[in-house]
Amino acid sequence: MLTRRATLAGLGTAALAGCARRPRDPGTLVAGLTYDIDTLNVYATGFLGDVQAAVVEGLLAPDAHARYQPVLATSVPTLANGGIRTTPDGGMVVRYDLRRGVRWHDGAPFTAHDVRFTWEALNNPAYIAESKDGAADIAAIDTPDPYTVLCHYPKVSPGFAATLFTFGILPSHLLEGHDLNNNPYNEKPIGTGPFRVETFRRGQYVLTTRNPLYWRPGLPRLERLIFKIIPNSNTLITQLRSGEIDLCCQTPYEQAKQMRDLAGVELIRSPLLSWQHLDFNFRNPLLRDVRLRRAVAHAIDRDALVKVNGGFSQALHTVAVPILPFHDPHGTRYAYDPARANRLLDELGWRRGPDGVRAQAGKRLAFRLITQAGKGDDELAQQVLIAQLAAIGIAATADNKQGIAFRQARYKGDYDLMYGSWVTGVDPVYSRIFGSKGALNSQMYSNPAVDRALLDMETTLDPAAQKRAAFAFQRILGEDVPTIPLTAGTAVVSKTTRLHGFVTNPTNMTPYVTSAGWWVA
Amino acid sequence: MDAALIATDEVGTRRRRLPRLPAMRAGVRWGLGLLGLLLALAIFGPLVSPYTYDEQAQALLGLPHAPSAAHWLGTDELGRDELTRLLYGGRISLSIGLAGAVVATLFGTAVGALAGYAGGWVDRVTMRLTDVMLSIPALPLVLVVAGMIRPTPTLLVLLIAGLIWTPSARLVRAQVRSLKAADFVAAARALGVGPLRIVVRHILPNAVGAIAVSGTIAVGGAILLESALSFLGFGIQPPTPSWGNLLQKAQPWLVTAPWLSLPPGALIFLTILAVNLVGDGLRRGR
Amino acid sequence: MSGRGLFARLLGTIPLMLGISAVLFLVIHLAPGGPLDVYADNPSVTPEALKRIEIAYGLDRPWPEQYVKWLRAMATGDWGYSIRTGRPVLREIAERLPPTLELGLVAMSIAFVAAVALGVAAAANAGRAVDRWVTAVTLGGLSIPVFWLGLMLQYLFSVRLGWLPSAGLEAIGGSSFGDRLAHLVMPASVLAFSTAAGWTRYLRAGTIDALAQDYVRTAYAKGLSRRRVLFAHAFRNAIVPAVAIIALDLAGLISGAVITEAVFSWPGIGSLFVESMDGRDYPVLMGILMMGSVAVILANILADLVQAALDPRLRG
Repeated sequence: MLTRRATLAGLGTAALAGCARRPRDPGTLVAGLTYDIDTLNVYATGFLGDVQAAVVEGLLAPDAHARYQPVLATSVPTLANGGIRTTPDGGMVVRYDLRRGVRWHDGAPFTAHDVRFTWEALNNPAYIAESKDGAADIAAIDTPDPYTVLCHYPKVSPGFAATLFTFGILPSHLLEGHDLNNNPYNEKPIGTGPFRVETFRRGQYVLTTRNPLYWRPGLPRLERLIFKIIPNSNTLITQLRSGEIDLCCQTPYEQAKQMRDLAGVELIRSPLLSWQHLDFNFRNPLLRDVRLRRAVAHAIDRDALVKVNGGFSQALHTVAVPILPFHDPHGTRYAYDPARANRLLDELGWRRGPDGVRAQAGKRLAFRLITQAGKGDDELAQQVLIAQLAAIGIAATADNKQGIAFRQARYKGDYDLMYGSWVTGVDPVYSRIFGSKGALNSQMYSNPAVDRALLDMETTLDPAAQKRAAFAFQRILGEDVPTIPLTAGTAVVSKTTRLHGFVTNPTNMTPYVTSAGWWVA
Repeated sequence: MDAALIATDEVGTRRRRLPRLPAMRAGVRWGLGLLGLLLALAIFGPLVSPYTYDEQAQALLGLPHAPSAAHWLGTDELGRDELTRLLYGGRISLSIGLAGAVVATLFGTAVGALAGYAGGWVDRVTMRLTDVMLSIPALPLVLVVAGMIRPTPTLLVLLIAGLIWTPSARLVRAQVRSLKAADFVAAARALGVGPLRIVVRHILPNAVGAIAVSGTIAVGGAILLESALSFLGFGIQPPTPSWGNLLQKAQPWLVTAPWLSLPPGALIFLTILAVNLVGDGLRRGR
Repeated sequence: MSGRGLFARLLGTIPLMLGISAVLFLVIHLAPGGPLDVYADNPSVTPEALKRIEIAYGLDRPWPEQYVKWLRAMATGDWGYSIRTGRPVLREIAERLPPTLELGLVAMSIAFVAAVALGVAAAANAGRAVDRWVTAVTLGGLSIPVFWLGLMLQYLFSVRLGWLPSAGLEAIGGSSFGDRLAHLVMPASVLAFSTAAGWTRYLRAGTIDALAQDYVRTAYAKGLSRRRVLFAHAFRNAIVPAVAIIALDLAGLISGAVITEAVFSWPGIGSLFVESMDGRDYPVLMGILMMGSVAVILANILADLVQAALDPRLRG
């Protein structure tokens, strides 16, 4: 029901455009982002640092197997190679040898001074940033010469490479003495990476071009890397189909499901360091009964959860995801067995009432199950869980909240059951989630055995000891069931078949960290 | 939208010179008939359907399926029957729309009668209040409130009513003011009848026309507002279906499952059309 | 309205604006949660750091005090900084205003021309087929949900036919006029259609009314052609009742067509509003709402002025 005018305009435009597909230029790659960028400063952004990973580099970067590789440092510091030295008072000193001949996008030389400045900037309380992790752990930094950095840690910290210096080094010659909160750097970051930011049109796109001064010889192979901001899901599919976008690294499952048969587009499953889980709130006395929790564990059919989200993710039975070296593949498993779950609940005295919900002594097994509103995949999984719980006589009702309200509810423990996901770095700090004093422990779960195991795990630099402690931790969690791990986080990368050299990345550094080696046929 | 219909009302009192178009009466009949049909579908449909609105079919999980013999409007990603959800959603959308409209009309009538009869500073103050309400951009304000507080259906009704009561107030006020000057009012006053009684027993019954018209405007506005809110994700929360949130769920599937988008929008359109037909008819004096 | 009358009127809007701003401020701050919740589960933000940020933004003061502070700042042109991006609110709004205005003005222009043409044609042929057709179409336009219409158009013209781009403002890296136009067609049509429906009804009613007046009969008696009567005489008065609603709709432009922008990913004020909502970005939300309210108030005054200019009976 268009007005006549609009119809004419539409026809006219069609004639102008001629429905032409733009000729493909092999030097340009167009990537789609499904979120609207708030800032291009990697430490301050609330989103993943996709654009930043192509523009700004750090000393180290995690690879496809979640192992660190040297970038601006010449080697990864470990105990074995002397890069890490423990001190008698329980601390450690980490030494980075920096690569020589690296230049910033504006030609200035990269030196140890920049590294030190980055630490100082992040440590500055006046700077408001999301990801200051790790800066406060360092007591002091020495730079005996322009290519050596010595970091003094008062406590041994195996996860030292997680955020600081890995996310990126800030250019001291441009930012020293300036306010970082309100700086042109946030719109146009200067880094040492393979691409330079040329234009940033808010809400629309970021155009980056090849950095001719890049320190890796012969790279990058692409001339232009364009990031298109496309929050509208239909547009994403339409543009992948028409070839207006070549790559989307975090394709929402809902779109990925629709793209299996697109010509010229392939879907790659990229395992992540995140996992989805069902948590119990120990504030609710009914949920403090471990036998009840185990019964619930038997009622969960992970295959249905995987299927409802397109079959991309993977069933998970322990909190450490498979890509981590200390993932326990043989831990306690609660097989999908609703008959058994029903029997267990019967034995505990929970009888089904006329409405199908189990009750005893005036108390019903009715719980509030929350998840974040607005996240389609989570809401779908939540519905599946509700149905599976209903099958064993537990009435779970959805009580979803939007962004901030959800965080608040989680923080205050305003729920009975929660479906959510956690993301960790390469060295997960599980104590934040499961430790008695964990900042993220909204379940009020407290088990001294878990605390001990986690303490061992998080204070040793010896991989073997770390693995032993991690296994112990997973075993206890498997017995206690404060949380039911459901699926391992998996990203779906949709890319054109003409893109080569692409490597997945399970961390929050995003696959763009290896964009220097990509090329388009 | 509502303001446009008010204007035609104010002008309508002078339009007795226009030929009485037979189509108008037919319009009201069509409108009522359509409305009745939709209500019947919403009330009885879910009872007749072999499925419940939250019944998931394991085999069909993951992708919406096209209409088939078993599922006349197809299924959604959880294998739930779309037709059942559509009809059940009708219950939700229609009841919220009607409830919101009723509350808005009652409140608006009360405010309008008060302002129209009392006159003077009471009138000025209440009109100022409605000015404030009208000056704040409606949808953004509602979004802010709905986005921050969990919208239970009751809250949603109140929220919607809070936004659409002003046309009722305006219409009723205009009507009450003109009726105030009538002889029978003067007579009642001379007899010593109290103002409240005069308004309720004598004036309002004669203002039924204006109240009815504003009521139909309110229903259309309430249904549209509910579906807009649900479409943006702030209204009725899943798994409870409403026409608005069915459209929201259908949006990402426009390319591969377009059959999901047509029915909910069509029903919203038909409902508002029906309501507008009735409202138009009432305005033009049947 | 005399100059003095206008001034008095403008002065009278100040208490109105104060009232509106107080209501908005109250509503936003009563809601649970605040802009700093984004740091709630970020372990690297210590409670001390959080406190410091709170103080920096003045969020620890009681809300009446915050309100006064905000009011004073607004009066001096300092609309504060967005908590989400750290940039000045005015800059955020200024950046998103051109796409909204572009969409809105184009849509309103189309709507106006359509409304005048259809409304007058319907009124001049009252009771006949043209009138019935126009009435039916406007009924449709008033009843159809904007977001559904947008979705259907997207499906037809982008997905099935591939004639128009489905969303966004323009293609990457600079675009041609034709490209901008292609992106604009659907959202503008959707907005124009629903707006024109209401305006057409107003104009039709006003024209019918004007045509029934004595002076029109006199003009016919004097031998003036129908066309001349319509456009030279009746139209001026026909348009008077419509002016108010047109002005209000134009003012509504400023707050952005939230739904249309959502459906078509149009980077205007409407989408800025929705983004700021999730992050409880108070300064931006207040800025947009206040701007919208001021626009409405000014539009009302403007409408009165225009009506008085058109119809001398309304003056004084």
